[in-house]
Amino acid sequence: MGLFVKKLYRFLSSYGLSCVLFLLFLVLTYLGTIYQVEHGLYAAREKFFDAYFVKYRILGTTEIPVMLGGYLLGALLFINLLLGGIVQARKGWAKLGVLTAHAGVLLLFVGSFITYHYATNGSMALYEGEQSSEFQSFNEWEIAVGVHPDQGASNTVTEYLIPRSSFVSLEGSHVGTFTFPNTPFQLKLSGFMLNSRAQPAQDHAESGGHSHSKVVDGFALVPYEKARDGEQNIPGLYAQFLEDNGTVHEALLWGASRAPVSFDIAGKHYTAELRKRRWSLPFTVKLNKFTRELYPGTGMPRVFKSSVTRIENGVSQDVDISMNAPMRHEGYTFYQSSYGPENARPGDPMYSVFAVVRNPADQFPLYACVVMTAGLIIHFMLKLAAYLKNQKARIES
Amino acid sequence: MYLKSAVVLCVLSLLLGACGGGVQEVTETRTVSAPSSAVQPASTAERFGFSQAAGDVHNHNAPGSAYMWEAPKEWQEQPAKSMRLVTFALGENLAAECYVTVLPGTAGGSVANINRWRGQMGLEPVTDADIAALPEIPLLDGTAPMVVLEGSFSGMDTEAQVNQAGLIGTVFKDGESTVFVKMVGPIGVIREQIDNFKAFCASLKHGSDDQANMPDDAVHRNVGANSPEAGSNSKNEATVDDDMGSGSKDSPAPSAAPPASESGLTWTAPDGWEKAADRAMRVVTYTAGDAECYVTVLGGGVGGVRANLNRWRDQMGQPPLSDEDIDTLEGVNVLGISCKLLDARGSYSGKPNQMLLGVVCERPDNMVFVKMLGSEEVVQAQKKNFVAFCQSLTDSE
Repeated sequence: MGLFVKKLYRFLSSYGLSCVLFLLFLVLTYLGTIYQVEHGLYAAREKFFDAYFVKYRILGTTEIPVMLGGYLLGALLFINLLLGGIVQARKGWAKLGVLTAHAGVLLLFVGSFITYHYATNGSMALYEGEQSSEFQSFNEWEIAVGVHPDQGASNTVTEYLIPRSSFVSLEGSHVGTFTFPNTPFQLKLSGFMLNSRAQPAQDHAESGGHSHSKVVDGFALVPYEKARDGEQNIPGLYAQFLEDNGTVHEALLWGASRAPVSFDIAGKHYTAELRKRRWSLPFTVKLNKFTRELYPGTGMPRVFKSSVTRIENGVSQDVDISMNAPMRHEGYTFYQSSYGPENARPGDPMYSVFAVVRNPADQFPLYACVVMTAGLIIHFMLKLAAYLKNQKARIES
Repeated sequence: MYLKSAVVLCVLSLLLGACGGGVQEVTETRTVSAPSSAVQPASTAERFGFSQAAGDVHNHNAPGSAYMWEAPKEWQEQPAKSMRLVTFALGENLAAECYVTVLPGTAGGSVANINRWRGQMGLEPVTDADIAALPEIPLLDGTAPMVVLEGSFSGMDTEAQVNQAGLIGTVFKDGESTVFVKMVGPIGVIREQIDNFKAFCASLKHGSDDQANMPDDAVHRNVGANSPEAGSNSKNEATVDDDMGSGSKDSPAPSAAPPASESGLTWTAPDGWEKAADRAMRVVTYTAGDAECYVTVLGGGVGGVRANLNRWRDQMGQPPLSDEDIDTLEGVNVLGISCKLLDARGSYSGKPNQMLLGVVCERPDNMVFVKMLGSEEVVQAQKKNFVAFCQSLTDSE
């Protein structure tokens, strides 16, 4: 065992592993760059850089991993740098600069890890006078199965959330089964389409149908060409709610639905919808007024800002959010992203769109750069001092 | 060393990447406030925006009552965009777009908005008298000034800058709202689309007005705000009757066509017709030259005979027929029921000189559709064979 650990340690701290990992990063970056030209930035990031493995599709729907993705490559490089660049490295004042610079790089990796797992970003759109305490993702979708309270029992709905990663692979005839604690049914999902449109049954029939489209309640979902801008895709899939007694409720879950699917089982009301992923905020934001000023005689905006009230635990505070002046509170940052409607005239109701970001590590890149810079300066100064000392000794001798 | 590292990484990839599957218990939850009033179940038609009864669960849809329109064949409807009733892409490389927006109130009126569009095109504003002198085009239940501008377009953030651009627009005060129809794109495309723009505006009408006069099985076009549509036809009408739209339990939703062996129908194929591969949703498909003839069976009411005949006419770019016109169509006996034979000629999916023969046979438990489509020369030559084929359909028992 001790020998195995030693060999593993040697392997993980080796220069050889570093070289291979850098080479794989080079290949990954090249492939991801080529991929994003046709498929867009979000899809490329998802497939190559956020993934544990880069997968290749064979035989229609089967995906096999072909190389490590950005996440695992980064994890291995972190371990390699920690063991080889810090733990195993020679210590001493002369190495202080190098060790500090390496520590800065490790800090960057730590920041990336925290961002990957704990950061959320999305948008919140509010009309003047409207308020909200949640925001939604730009690209991520979720299926929310709501358990509604009995009449008069409670004023809250419990939503069970199925993340996109759990159903995105359920294309064609692949079926995923989901259960929910204390509920008398299972949910089977299949036929996932990344981009889809709803079609009435007779149009669907006349077009010859689609091999994995099911007709439910007079409609079918048909696949649509994937949009390069990931936000434009409207996913859809087929759902079956199977009661314990064998009764089946069928439904099509579609990202552009105006209302959730609803059904009753054993006297209890349930809903289900496919929607952009949502997150709750610990406070409420109310848009009081949106102001847009144009450069005189042009349609170019000079400034646009939102006057909002932030309400938390009954306490209200007025804040202005504008370009380059975001609102930061409780770890959330609200940026002024966009607005509308485009044809609005002075006095017409405007809506403002905020980009909402929560990233505990949003300052880590800055800290890492400071540490790396300090390390390089220390290393340079030490080298310079050593050189000058050497020169002096040579002259004296 | 390097080779060993690479091999280990590859094996790691293959082993770890193949894991996954099984029943998943959903444990991630979110608690939200229950709706203030009981959620009324929505039918699939309502959820997908094919019915006026659809509620706006998601905010930021354009205000205004339901509207109906007929878009030119070459216009491609785009996914829903915030605040737009509908958006079409058109022209070479779909470089231009035309969209409809509805705003509450006066929205500034014609003069201010036309001058705002002039500003977006880099042009100086004009006087009220100049705008009063603009040509008027029919729109909804009145007329509205139409402006055609040429210049360099720089609109809102959501619109790309276009040099040598054209803009066609019109503003119409519609009761408590104001309707904007605007087309922007390369000047060459805009010049070619002026007639299409006028035709589109002339086709714009209130959905409520038309539905009040339509019988129960009428075609309902894309009504309401931001209701994305599916299918290959840019017009994308939904042929649903009132029972489906209101979620009544008395009209069962149309179910998928049974396979040929289960459809309960037999027939005699004319000489020279070749049986094509089975396709989902079709009972049988034959080809004759470049023409295709197929039979579809759908359960339940899917809009009625008149609505479906007019849907086919619409597919051929032909205006709908009145009840009187349909009564004068040639009759053909199908499955013991006297049906009407539709003979429509025009363009289909961008192909000119096409011909469609169609019969809709409405039976107590289902509707049988027989349709032949191909070049006019071939289908005309096969018309007698088509009629004979329809008359040969019998129930197998």
